[in-house]
Amino acid sequence: MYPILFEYGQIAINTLWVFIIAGFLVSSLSLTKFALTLRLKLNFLRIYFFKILLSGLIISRIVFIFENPGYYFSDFGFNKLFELISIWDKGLSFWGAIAGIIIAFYWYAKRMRENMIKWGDVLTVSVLLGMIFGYIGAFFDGTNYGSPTELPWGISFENIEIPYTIPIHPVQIYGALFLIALTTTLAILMLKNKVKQGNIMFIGIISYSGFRFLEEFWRGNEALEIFGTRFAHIASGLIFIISLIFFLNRYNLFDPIIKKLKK
Amino acid sequence: MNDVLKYLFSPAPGVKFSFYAVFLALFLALLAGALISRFLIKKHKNPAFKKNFGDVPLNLLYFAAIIGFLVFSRYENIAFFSMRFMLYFTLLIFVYWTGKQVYTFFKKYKKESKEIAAKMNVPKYTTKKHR
Repeated sequence: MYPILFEYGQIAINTLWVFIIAGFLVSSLSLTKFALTLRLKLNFLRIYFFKILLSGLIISRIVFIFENPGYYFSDFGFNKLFELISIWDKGLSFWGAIAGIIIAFYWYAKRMRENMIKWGDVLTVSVLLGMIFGYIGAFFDGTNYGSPTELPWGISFENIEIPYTIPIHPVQIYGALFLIALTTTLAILMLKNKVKQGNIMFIGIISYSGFRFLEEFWRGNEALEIFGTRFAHIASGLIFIISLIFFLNRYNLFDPIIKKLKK
Repeated sequence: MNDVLKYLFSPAPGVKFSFYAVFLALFLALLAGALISRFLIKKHKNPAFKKNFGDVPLNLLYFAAIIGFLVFSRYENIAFFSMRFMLYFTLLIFVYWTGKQVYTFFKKYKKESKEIAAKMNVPKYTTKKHR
């Protein structure tokens, strides 16, 4: 674990932020490259890229604030107001960022009459690629840690923020490995034009939300719970089911059921 | 067999490593190689050279970054990233890539540059009768 990459006096560079920036750069570069390969209009990206990203950041922060109301709304004052916008305290919600980017992207793509399905494929692969860096950054930072394990690859973290002194699951490494395999497969399928347009997006979302649901069982960090269930479990489970329904609907698998219901 | 697997896949093999100097030299050589190859490709006028070796500077930079990161992880004893397998696997890919570049240079590039030279010798604005 290596939360601070570089420190000089008052200035400290956080490893997680370095990886997030690296992930963002790799993601943007791959998005441009894939868009060019698939002959999508780069002008759309040039105009709306910053706005889409900013919406992701804002919604991610808002969701995080509502996830931790006890901290942000405990008292009211100038300091608390300043803390609401201090994004450098690493207070960003992953699900909020995803939701923000998807909403903004859908909004602008519809306005510009872009091929949303094709853009969705490209965006899915690029976002998944960037997320690999996020997982590695979380591993270095010691956040989103796992639960205790006796497996041989369990590791002990030396960090006061982690309550376990015994070996724990390296969930961040599981995530990074899964995403490397998923991104590689999806990128090959997309560039070789082997699957129907839009399926890359659905396969990516279904696979990752399914994995995220399973990963949550091995997580040991404290998280928001709704009726005794972790929020990420509910969110990933819902996304998995909804995207699976949409995916199956593309092949008209629900037509016989709908016909029966109509009768 | 078990010992070999333990040796390769131990998540944190420790800070002690006899090849820090070698890998540091390799890291610097790759960086220098990336800079020099970029300069050479810019200067070279043969289009076949640019076509076959245009990606070399960027790939050298990627290798330098990965090797530098893995050696740094070993020095800081960061679990999984200091795993011996990661470093050896990266080296194996690097050796394969270098071999591929050498093969391209001696087989593909020479053939292509000959073809281009032959095309260049054909006068462009004369009729077939006068060639």
